[in-house]
Amino acid sequence: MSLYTSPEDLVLLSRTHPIPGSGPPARTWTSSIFTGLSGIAVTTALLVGPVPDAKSLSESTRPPLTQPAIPPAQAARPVQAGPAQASATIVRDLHAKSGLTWEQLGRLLGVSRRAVHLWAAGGRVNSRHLELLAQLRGIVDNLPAENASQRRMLIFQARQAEPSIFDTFLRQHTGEEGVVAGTPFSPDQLLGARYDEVESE
Amino acid sequence: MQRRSTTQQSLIIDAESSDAPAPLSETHLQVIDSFRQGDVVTIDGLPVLGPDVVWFRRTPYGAVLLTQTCDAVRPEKSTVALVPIVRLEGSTASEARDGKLLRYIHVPSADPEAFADLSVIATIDKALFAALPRVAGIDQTDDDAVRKFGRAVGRRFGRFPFPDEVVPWLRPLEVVMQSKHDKNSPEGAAMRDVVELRVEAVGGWQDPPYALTLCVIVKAGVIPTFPDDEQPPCPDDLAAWLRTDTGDLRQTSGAIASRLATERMRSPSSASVYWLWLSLAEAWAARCTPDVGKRPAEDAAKIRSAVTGVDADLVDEGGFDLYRYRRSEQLDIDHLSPPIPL
Repeated sequence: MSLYTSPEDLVLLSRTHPIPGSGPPARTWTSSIFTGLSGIAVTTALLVGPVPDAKSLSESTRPPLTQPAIPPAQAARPVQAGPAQASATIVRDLHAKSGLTWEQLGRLLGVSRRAVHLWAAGGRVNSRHLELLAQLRGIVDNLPAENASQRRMLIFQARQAEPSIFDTFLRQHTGEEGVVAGTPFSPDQLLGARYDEVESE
Repeated sequence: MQRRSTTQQSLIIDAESSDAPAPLSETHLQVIDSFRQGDVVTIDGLPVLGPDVVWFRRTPYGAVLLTQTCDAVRPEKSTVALVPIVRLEGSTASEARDGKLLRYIHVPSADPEAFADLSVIATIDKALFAALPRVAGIDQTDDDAVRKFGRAVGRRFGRFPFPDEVVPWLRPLEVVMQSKHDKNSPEGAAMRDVVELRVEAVGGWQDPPYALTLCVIVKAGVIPTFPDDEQPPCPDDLAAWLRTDTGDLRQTSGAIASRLATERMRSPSSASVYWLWLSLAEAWAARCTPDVGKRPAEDAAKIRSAVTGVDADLVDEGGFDLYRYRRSEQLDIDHLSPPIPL
């Protein structure tokens, strides 16, 4: 397996804003770089074509990002680009279209704003971050809004009985998965814990 | 109760029986208040339980109290843990002093060449321990030295075990870091501004392949700060120097560090310094490519497929949040261990 997606593998969703100079025929459903990753269907749906309905994909893999106001992703026209350029384009496009600050994008993606700056300049992006970028872009692309300001408003808008889109995305990707050490014990495990079985007063 | 040896020191007693060690006497209770982790005692040997016999690891230089002070001084605890002292010389001693050999912890107050050897740990009755000649192995008035000893014990037993197949990915970076860190070179200077390297497996360590992020955490004030959230513009000549037309990084970490050193001299808070730091972090991440050498093809394939890629995040020490901390592990792999079997 190559370290990064080859230009042939990295086909990014660009339904509403195709990357200039791109627009090859729809790709097949396989992409070696994502083989074996969790959430593959959601990601692959957003990264390679032909792109099935996002709702059915999300239901078959990860818990769906509940957002009744957001229409399901429509068939996308995939585009091709070199890995560095393609990921840089998607990051810049996401920043411009979402109205989110670099800092907010970083929060959603679990990195610093500097990492997002670096990606926007062509810096290397690992496969899981590419997945998250694609998921986020899929959401932003399908917001019923006409400009970045409206999309930003929708992303943070309070919703009935559920968190905002921003908080929902954050929660989905800030679960306990990936917790290794650092602070491996929760407060309820730590508070009141005893050093030994028997404590003398 | 079963007695399996007739020698006085290897008498085995069922701890639940009436022959179990008696409570500490008043004399002992007066002494244990002074027990401190790192104390050095004179003792002939430490017991090691074998299949048929208890044998003794000779301790001609004494043994070190490993038990934490807070536990060692508690009267209801009847035992303490000791490790033997060894004397190290030359490069081994130097590496051990620098914290590169996790097996050893320096106990300089006892002897400049004395090191606690954590490969053997024995449990000793406190009554025996209290009767042994004892000196401080660590200067107890030096808080930093006291904490350093405790942290070294924790490091030996608390390191995160990176998956075996991931270690070859990280080792090239470790080699570079070790070879350059103390050198009078631009890259060495940049490394000395790095507080910590941490590795995140975005999505977790449960199953390969792993998507890794190298978190380069630098001292506060090292990365230029700008008045707003926007990216500082990268000068055209620098952008062209850093990246190919297709956006790939074209410079090595050494070349980037050299230019960074020059730019820092010229204007330490410039946009150029900002972009050079980001690119340097990326170049270090790019070092993380496994050298599978002469490994069998099956092992090599397993290693190569274990990681899908390594990207970089440059953060200053004030900006690395708890979320990231909980999901990342300090890059701390045993560089002296032989190639890891899979």
